[in-house]
Amino acid sequence: MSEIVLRNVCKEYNKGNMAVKNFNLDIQDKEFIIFVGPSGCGKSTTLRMIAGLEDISNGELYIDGELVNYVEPQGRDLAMVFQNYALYPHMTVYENMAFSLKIRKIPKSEIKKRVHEVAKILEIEQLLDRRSKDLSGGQKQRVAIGSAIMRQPKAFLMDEPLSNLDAKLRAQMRIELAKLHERLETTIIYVTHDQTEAMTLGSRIVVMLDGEIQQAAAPEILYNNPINKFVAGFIGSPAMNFVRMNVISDTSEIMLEKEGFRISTKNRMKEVLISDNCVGHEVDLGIRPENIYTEVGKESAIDVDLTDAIEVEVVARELVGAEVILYANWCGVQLCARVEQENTSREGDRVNWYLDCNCIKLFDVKSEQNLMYGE
Amino acid sequence: MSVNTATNPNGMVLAKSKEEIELLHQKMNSRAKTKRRTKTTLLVLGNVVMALVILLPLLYAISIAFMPSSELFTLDMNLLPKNPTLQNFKEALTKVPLVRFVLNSFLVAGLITLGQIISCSLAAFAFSFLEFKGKGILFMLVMATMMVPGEATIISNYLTVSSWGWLDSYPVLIIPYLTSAMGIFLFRQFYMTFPISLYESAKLDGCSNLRFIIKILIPLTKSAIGAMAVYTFINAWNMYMWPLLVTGSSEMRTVQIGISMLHSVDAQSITLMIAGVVMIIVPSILIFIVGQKQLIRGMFSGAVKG
Ligand SMILES: Nc1ncnc2c1ncn2[C@@H]1O[C@H](COP(=O)(O)OP(=O)(O)OP(=O)(O)O)[C@@H](O)[C@H]1O
Ligand SMILES: [Mg+2]
Repeated sequence: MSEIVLRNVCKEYNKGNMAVKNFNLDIQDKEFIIFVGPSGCGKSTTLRMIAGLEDISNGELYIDGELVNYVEPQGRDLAMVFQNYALYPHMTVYENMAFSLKIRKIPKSEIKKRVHEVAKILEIEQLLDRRSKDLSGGQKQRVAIGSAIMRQPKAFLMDEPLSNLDAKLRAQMRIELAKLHERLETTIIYVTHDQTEAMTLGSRIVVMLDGEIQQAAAPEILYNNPINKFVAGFIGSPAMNFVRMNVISDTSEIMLEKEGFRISTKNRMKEVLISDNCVGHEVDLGIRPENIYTEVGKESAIDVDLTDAIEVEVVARELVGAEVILYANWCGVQLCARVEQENTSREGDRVNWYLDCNCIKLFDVKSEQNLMYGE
Repeated sequence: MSVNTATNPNGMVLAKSKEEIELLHQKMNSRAKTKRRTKTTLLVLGNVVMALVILLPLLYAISIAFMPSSELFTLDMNLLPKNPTLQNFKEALTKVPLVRFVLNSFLVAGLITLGQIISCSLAAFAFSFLEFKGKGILFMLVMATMMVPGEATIISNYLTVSSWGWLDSYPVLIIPYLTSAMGIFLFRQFYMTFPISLYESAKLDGCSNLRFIIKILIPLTKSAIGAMAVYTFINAWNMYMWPLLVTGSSEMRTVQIGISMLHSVDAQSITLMIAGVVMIIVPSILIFIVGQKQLIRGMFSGAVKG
């Protein structure tokens, strides 16, 4: 059981310079929480405040209903995996893993049993007698995770644990982490830069910017229903395309217009534009690369509603495995589309693209809020 | 015959038979060898000359220690004893309780070393790992004491300990030297390069500060401790002013003072004194030989991040 609740938590390193501002989050038992955000947005700081490695300047932190602001790290019963592993270099892998249990005066035979159990899960049994400084990065990472799960703590805190690994090992460890989470049934709070890690592992993702939470929600909600332009652009890769459009009213219709290209709006989009008094002003249109089509009639999903064609000039083509990412220029705006490998567009080609109306997002120009948030 | 063909960067084709290439290898190899050998010889020669110059006083002292005193005061150039004798050593050992002095010195220097290692490492631990109010100012204060020369405080220290009636005892030789700002500074410099995440990780594991020091910090900073130990021991062994001031009886004297007593016993016998000096250098040199690797590694590992 571990419920971690942050109430208006703030961190002020230097006077007037807030690294974390009014952080509010309720973390339920067994959740896999992911902190993402650009570098320097306060992810590590928040994690370290939860761990007790940094003082909380303001606000309250509760673990299982108990105020722990003033409890030493030793007393919080959390385990942390650091980005640079933090193994004790003079000890063997076995000693590293046994360290936290030895402190707790757990009998030797019990420690031995647990170490071997955990080593088996992480497939590091053959390394137990090796000095930890002689291991490879991936092995160190496993040992670090192993040391953390040795004593079933209330929650795991992980600060970019996979960032030092190569792509293949990272993918492998990601799967193992997911398995581990299922198996251990504990809360995990995880900091990462990696989109894939965030989207695949997290039961809830917390997107941060400049020390503030932008949105905290399940991956698919973040993806489909971002609260603002920042979250929309941050989640998903390649990032969402943004185009500034004029909102005009033509007879009974409300249209989005740019350089003669028009999209007529319907249903909710139309309602929102009217209720938010956008007519006659500008809005930012957001469309994900996977919702741009290069041909009519080839869309796989059923409820796709394509717009008229926009004529774009392809400026770059990137092959990413089974897919191709096309970058193109449309009236001075760069657009990016994710298409199938069979697509033959090359640099310099002028081609027609179509947007999927059902996947268009609209953002307020000034506040950058998602006008259609909360469907 | 097999022909080995290679194209050089200019596009010219070099055709060479196997034998020719073999010959070329030999020629180049022998040339490189001679070059290397000359270099080594010159280096060794240079080093030997330098070593001789530096060691000359020491070697001469050893030579004098074996001379009868009549031989020393002649106008001839006599670097080596003509009639080597052990008389000087015997006399030095009987005239003053030299063994007792050596034991005193060992006791004092040993305890000072132990004390400094413990106190300095603990203080440095606090200065580098713990967060508390006024840490910066306190550290400045400690460092500032390094600026005060020992001679400036020696009189007031003397008055203090004499008012406590501590004169002429072991505590008075040891206690004032149980910590040193220099030691704290060196340890702190060393700890600054210690990855802080190890400390944080230990804390999260539920490790207390003391346990962290014993189980993790000390094993990982052995070389710093070794360097400090050698440095402190030699300093303590060579202390002169303070022991001279606070000890009166010959039971409490350390070797450095004891040796000068040899001088006053018989003004003529420089050979006697030198024999004594040679005997007491031995422990310092031994310690240095044993600890030199540690000393060098420790002194530099703090300074150079690797
Ligand atoms: N010890 C410190 N003293 C002063 N400012 C700090 C300290 N640690 C972090 N900061 C500042 O706090 C802000 C948040 O830092 P933090 O390390 O939490 O970022 P992050 O989100 O983890 O970034 P990254 O993804 O690069 O690790 C940054 O602006 C950083 O400069
Ligand atoms: Mg960070």
